[in-house]
Amino acid sequence: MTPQSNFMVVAKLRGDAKAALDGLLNEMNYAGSPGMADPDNALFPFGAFDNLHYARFVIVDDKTLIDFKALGLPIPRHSLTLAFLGDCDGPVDDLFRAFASNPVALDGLKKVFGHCEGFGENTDLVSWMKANEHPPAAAYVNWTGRTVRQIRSEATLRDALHAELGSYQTMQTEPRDDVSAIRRHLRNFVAKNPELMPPPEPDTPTAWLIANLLHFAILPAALLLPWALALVFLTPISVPLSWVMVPFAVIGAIAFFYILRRANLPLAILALFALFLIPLLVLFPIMLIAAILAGIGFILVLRCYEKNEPEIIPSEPVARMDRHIASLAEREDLDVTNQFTVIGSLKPGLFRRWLSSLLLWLIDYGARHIYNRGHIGRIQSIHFARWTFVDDKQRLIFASNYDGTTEAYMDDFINKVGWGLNLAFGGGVGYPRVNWLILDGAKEEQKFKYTLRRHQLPTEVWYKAYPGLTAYDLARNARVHEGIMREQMNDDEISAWLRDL
Amino acid sequence: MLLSHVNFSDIQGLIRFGHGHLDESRLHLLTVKNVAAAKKWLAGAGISSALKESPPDTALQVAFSYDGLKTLGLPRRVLEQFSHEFRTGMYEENRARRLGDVDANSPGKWHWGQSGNSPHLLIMTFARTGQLAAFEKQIKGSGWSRAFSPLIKPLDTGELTGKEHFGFLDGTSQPKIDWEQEKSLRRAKTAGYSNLSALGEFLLGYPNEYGKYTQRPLLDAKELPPGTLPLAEDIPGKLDLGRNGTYLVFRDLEQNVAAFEDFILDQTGSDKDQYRALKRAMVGRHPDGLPIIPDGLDIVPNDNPGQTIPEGAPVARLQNLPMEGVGPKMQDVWLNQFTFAHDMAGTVCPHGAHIRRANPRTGDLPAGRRNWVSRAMRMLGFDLKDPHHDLVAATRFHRIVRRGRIFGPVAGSESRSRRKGKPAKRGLRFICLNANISRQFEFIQSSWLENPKFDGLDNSDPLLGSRASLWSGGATDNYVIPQDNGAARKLTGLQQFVTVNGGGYFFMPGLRALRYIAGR
Repeated sequence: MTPQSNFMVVAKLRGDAKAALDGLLNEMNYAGSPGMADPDNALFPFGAFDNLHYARFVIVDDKTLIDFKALGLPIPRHSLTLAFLGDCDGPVDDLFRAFASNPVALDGLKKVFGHCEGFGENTDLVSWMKANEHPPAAAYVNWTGRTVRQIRSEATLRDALHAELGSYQTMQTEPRDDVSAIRRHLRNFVAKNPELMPPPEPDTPTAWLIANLLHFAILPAALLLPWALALVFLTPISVPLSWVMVPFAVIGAIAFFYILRRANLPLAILALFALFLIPLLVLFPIMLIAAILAGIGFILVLRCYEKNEPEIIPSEPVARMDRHIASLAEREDLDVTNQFTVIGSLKPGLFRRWLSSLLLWLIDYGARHIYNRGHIGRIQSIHFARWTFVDDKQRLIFASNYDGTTEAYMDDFINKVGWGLNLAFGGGVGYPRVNWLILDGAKEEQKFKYTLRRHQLPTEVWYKAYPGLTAYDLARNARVHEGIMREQMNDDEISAWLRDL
Repeated sequence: MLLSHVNFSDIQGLIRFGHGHLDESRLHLLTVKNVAAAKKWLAGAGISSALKESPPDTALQVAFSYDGLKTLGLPRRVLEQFSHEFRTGMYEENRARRLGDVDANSPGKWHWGQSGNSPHLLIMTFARTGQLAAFEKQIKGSGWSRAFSPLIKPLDTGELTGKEHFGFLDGTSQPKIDWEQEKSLRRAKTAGYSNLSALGEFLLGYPNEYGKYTQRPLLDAKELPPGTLPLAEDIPGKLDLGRNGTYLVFRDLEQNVAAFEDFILDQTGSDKDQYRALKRAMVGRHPDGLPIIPDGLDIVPNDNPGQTIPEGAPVARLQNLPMEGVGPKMQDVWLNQFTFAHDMAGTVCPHGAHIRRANPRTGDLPAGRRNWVSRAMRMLGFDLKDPHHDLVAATRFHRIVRRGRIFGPVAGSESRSRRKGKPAKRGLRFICLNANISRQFEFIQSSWLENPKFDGLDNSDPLLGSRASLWSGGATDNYVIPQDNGAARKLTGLQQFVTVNGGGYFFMPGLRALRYIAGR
C-alpha cells in the first residue's frame, strides 16, 4: 500500500502582483472554463505527475477580516497570499523533486512563484517550497492507500468488464441467471487480457507503518497518563503494584485497535472506558474527583465562551455578495466533482486557539485511524479534505474535493455531520453560534450556508486526476477489482458483484 | 414563541386547493405597461384566497417576478431581501447549467423567460368547464389592457384527465402540508421518512423543517400603518412581507411522447408485457399510480375489501405501519405508504426510476435497528451494509408542492404506424411552490433528477434528464435496471424526452402583501 500525503505552499504576493498572477494562473485552465485545469497546459502540466490526485492554486484574498470590527477589535492585516496545495501518493518530497525535474513544470512554477515575496531568479524551487509549506492540522483521505494508478487501472478494468459483459449477454445462449457462468466468462476474459489487471501495489513503507502505529498509540497512551500519575502520586511506589496497569494497558490497546479495525466506534469507546478508566477510578477514587472537577471546569469555561461571544453574521452589500457567488458558481458543477476552499479567522483568545488545536488534532486522529475507508462521519462524497492553520494559527483554511453540487454538499454538512462541522469550525469568527461544542451551529441552515459562501474563495486553478469519477465510482471499481480476484463467491455475492458492473 | 394560527384569508387559494376541480385554466405571462394602471387592477382584482372550505367555481391567482416587483416600485431595501435565486433568475448561466438547462434546454432557446424576455407577472385563471372565457372577460374589465401587455400568448392548459402525457397518473405523491403546525422536529421523529412537511416549507413566515424562518423581506413596523402587513413571528418590530406568500417555480416543459414510446417499443419489440414492465421500471409506478411491486404479487386495491395491506406485500415497500402524512384515504395509503429502505440494491424499483429520484423517501438517518448503539453507529457513519446506504438522506428538506397542468391533446400510447402527420405540441406547465427555491426545487432538479451521479448512477432522470454528456465526455443517456439474479439490464440511447421551453421564478404574495405591493 502506498500512503497518501499532501502539501500546501503558502507565500505572500508581491505588492501589485494579483492581477498579473490571476492572468497567469488562468493560462493553466481550459479556455472558457474558469478554474478547470487543463492537465496538459503549457505552464504547469499537472497530468505529467501520475501520483498527483488533486491540486489547486488559490489566491487567498480574505474579505472577512472586517468582521473584527464588529468584535470591537482592530482589523488584522494579512497580506494577499498564494496557496498551492495538492494530494499525492507517496512522500511529498518525491513529488516536489519531480516538479523540479520536469523542465516545463519547473519553469511554470518559477513564473508563478516569481509573483511571491522571497522568490527570485536563483531561488531553489524545492527548498523554497519546503520552507513555505504549511502542514495541515487535520487531513482526510477517502481511502488510505488508493493510488492514482490504481484508480485509473481499476476504472479501465471495470469499463472493459462492463463492455465484455454487454457483448456476452447479447450472444449467450445459457440462461441469463446462471451467474457463475457469467463470472467464469469474465474471469477468463481477464485471464486472456492480463494487461487489464491492475498491477499489484508495492509494500507499505515500514517507516510509515511504524510512524502511523506510534501516532495511533498517542490516544491510548494519553489515557494511561492518569494511571501513571496515580501510581506515582497516590501509592507508595512499589514495583509490583505498578505492574497492575500493564495488563490493562495491553489488553485495552489491543481491544481498542481490534474493535476500531472492525469499524465499531461506540464499542471501542466502551472498551476504552472499561479497560482504562473504570478500573482506574475504582482503584483510585480520588482521580474520579479530579476528573469530575476538570470536566466541570472545562464545561464552565466553554459555556462562558459560547454564551458570551457575539454571533457575527455580517450582511454584505447584496450586489457584492451576488458577484461573489457568481464568481464561485462559474467554477462549480462543470464536472462531477467540485473544489471547495474557505478561509476564516479564529475567535480571539488563547482558549479558542487551544480548543481548536485540540479538536482539529482529534479530527485528524479520527481521519487517520478511523475514517480512512470511504467516509468521514456519514459523508461518502469527499475525496480529500484538510484543515490548515496559517498566520500563526490566527486563520484556518479548509480545502476539500467533493462530489455533487455545492447545495448538496452543504446539505450533507448540515444534515449528516453538523456536529463535526461545529467541532471543526465552532471557534471561527462569523460561524453561527455553537452550543456544547456540537449543537446548533450548522443547524442554523441559512446563516450557515451564507457564512460558508461568504468565506469561500474562488479557486483559480483546480486539477483532478480522474475526471468523471466520483468517490462512489472509485469504491465500486475497487469492489469490481476485488471480485475478479476472488477465487470463491456464492451466487448472491456474484449477483451483487455483477450489479456493480 | 407562540405560533399564531394560519389565516387562510391571507393566503392565495392555489397553495391549499390546487384547483383540481376547475377544469379550465390559462396562464398569462405579462409585462407591466402602465404601473399605475397595473396597481389599480391588482388592487381591485379579487385574488382568490384559501379561506373557503368548499372551493369556488372560479379562481384567480397572481405571482410576480423580480423584474415585476422592481417595475412596480418596491423599494430597493425590500427587493434586496428576496432570495438570491429569485433575484438572479432561473436563466442565470451557472444556475441553468446546474438545472440541466443546456443544449436544447438552454435559456437562449426558450420561448419565454430568458434574460430580456421575462414576464413581470404571472396571472393564473381557473374555471369550470366552459366558463373560463366569461370569467376572464369579467376579471379583465377595462383595466387589464391598459395595465399589462402579454409577453406571449396566454398559455393554455389541457383537459384534467389525471394523467400526464407519458401515460402515468400525475401528482401522485405530494407532501402533506402541516397546516396545524403540529409536526415534531425532534431527532427521534425525523429519523425515518415522513410525508408531513412543515408549513414553513411552503409558506414564508412560518417555521420550516429546520424549525427556522426562511429568509424573506421584512420591513420596519414603524414604516407602515399598523395592520398593513402581518407581523414577523420571529423578529419583534418587523413586518413580514413574505408571510403567507411563497415562491412559485414555473417551467414550461414539452414532452416528446413519440420519442418516449419509440424508445420503449425499440427496447421491447412487440411484447406487451415487456413494454409495460419497462415503462413502469423507468417511472417506478404503474400507469395507475401504484408503486412497483415484485412479480407475482399483483394486488389490486379494489380486490381487497378489508383495505388491509397483506403481509410482506409490495416491497418497495408498502408498510404495515401508518406513515405520518399518508392517508387516511386508502388510495393514498396504496400509492404512498412505502419507502425504498428495503430495496437498497434497486432490484424492485431501480435507483434511477423517476419517483425514486424525485422523492427518495429517506429519513434523516439510514434505517437500522432500534437501539442506541445502532443509532450512534449510524450517526457516526458506520453500520452501512450496502454500497447505496445513506448516499441520499434527509428527503424532508427537499419537497415541493406541485400545481402544474398538462397542455396539448392527450396522446395515449400509439404504435408508430398509427401516427400521422406532425405530432401535436404537448407537455406540462410545471408549477411548484416552495419557500426556499435553492433548497427545494433547485435541489431536486439539480442534485437528484439531473445529477448524473445520483445514488451511484451514471445517468439523469429517465423522463426529464437532459442527457448532456459529462464534462469529461462520459455518456449519460442510459438507464439501468438492477436484477435480483445476474447483471443489471442496461439500456442505452435514451433521447431527451422533455424539453424546457421557458421558465421563471415568481413570488406569490399573501393577500395583504399583495395589497401593499399594489397600494404603494
